Amino acid sequence: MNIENTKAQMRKGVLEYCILSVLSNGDAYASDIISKLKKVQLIVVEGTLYPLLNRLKNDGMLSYRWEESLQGPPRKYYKLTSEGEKFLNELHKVWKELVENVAQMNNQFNK
Amino acid sequence: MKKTLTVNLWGQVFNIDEDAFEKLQKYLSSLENKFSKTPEGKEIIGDVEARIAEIFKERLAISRQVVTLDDVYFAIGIIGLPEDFDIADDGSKEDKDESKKTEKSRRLYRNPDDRILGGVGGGLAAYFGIDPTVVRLLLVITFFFSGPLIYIVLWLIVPEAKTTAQKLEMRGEPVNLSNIEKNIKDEFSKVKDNLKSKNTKKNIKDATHHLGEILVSIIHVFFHAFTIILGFAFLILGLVFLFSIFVGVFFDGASTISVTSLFETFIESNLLTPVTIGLCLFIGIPIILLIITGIRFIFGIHHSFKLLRKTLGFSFLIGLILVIFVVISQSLNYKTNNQMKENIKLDSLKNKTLIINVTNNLKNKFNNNELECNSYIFNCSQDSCVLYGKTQITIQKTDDSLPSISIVKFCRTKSKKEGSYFLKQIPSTVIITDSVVSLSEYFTIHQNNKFRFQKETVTFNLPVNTNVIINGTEENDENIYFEGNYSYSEIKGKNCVMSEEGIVITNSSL
Repeated sequence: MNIENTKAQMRKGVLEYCILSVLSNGDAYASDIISKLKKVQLIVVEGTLYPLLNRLKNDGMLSYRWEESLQGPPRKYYKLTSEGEKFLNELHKVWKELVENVAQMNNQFNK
Repeated sequence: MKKTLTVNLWGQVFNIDEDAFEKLQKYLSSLENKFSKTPEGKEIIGDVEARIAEIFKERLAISRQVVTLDDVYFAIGIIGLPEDFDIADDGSKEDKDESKKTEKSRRLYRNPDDRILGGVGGGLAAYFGIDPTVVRLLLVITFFFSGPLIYIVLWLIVPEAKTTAQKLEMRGEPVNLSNIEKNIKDEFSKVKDNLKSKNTKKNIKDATHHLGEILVSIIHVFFHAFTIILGFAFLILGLVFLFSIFVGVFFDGASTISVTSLFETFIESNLLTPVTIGLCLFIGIPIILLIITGIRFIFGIHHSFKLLRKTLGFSFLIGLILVIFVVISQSLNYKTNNQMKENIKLDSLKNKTLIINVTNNLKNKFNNNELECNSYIFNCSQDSCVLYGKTQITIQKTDDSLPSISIVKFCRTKSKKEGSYFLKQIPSTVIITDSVVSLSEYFTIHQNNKFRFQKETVTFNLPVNTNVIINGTEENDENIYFEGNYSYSEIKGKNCVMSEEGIVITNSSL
């Protein structure tokens, strides 16, 4: 059993949730999202994010607009759609339950 | 000092070191290989490109102008290798494990890199790990069974290995960055094109397009076979021409008619060199072109040989000019008509019978080494060829009381002066002894004398009631003319008499 593998699996599961969560605090472009996720060590490389953002966009959770940048090319600013917000609320509930249940279970065994 | 290139990344222009460019190109192609399978792949790659442009802009803002290899590594470090992207894909880890287990498994694709028709043979060969020739041989062997049908079905249903990843799968090699890198080399633009066309095509359109492609390919193969056959035909024809000219010019004796002698007879000495060079170029170059075209068809060489073509074209033009020059200057030699007439009274004949003996004076009459054209004959012996003119003999009725012979010599020359010289050179063939007139069928246009349309006519003017016997050879049919209703073969050697109606056979001869 590879610990790195398991860790990656776990991270992956919450990654979508975290992206939506980041965006719920305000519109952001890819690098913003990445720096936030990097801080909490959810992703290692940026490349991971692009396919994910793309899929979320295609599923109607996100939309984006182009914004000029002072330096470099124009940036894609992502925004949560109303559908995305509903989805995020669902995920919040699921996450809460999950964390509680796992904690509860761990406590039971620890006792 | 380093060479730099200019690239456009997401609308931003960068100067980039050559090595850095290559690294970046490989990286982007490996991404394209990974994402080209998904419809949104293009967009993802666009995002990545934009990000790379941003990273470069940030790094260059400090002090430098040129993107270096370090910058590329830095950007790749931030964005990650294609394998690292997998963390975000559905069940990708499981997939990855699975693909590790089945690393050796292959998928059947049509191989576009090793194809004659649709690449089915190449694909099957890669799938089974055998030589494609074996597969093709099998197809040929099964040609009369169902081989071609199976082939076409496979062609229709088996996808083509378009991306490097698919090509690796086809050969059963694991799809990872190092392998892709190994395979891609400089396929960047090609992959990009594939990606574009793949995204724009609709499925139904794809299928009809595919069928069309098959038809086009079949036609293409037939066309290819046809060009090869045509190529061989050209090559053989060219070589035959070349060989016959070679034999004709350099081994004069091998042909029945000496080409050199022909030239020497008909063309002025000072024009011999230009006409030889001119004709060699004029005839030789098309033959060389024929051979080159043949070779190009056979081996499918698409190189256009610009310099060679220019040189050949130029030489051909020179040859053409030389030939035209020779033709014009030669034809100027024939502009003046010259004629010389000689009348001989046959005083000695009295009431005796006139005997006309026509003899054949050709040396090698029966060796067939001759070229006949109108009233000229080119007769060749082993060491020389001589041009002869046919003497035209006419027997006609005259109102004069005495018989006579008129000999007319004719030629066409450049000037009157030259004309009189050439006229003198025409030998007199008529010998009169008592009542016998001997003349030869041919007169020599001597080898040292050039051809000037020399003609000689001998006309017998006979009063009515002159008795005559014509002795000649079988062939004189062509050059003896006489008045009357008889044919030459009827009166030959018979006692005849000139009457009001021309020559008639006298009863005494019966």
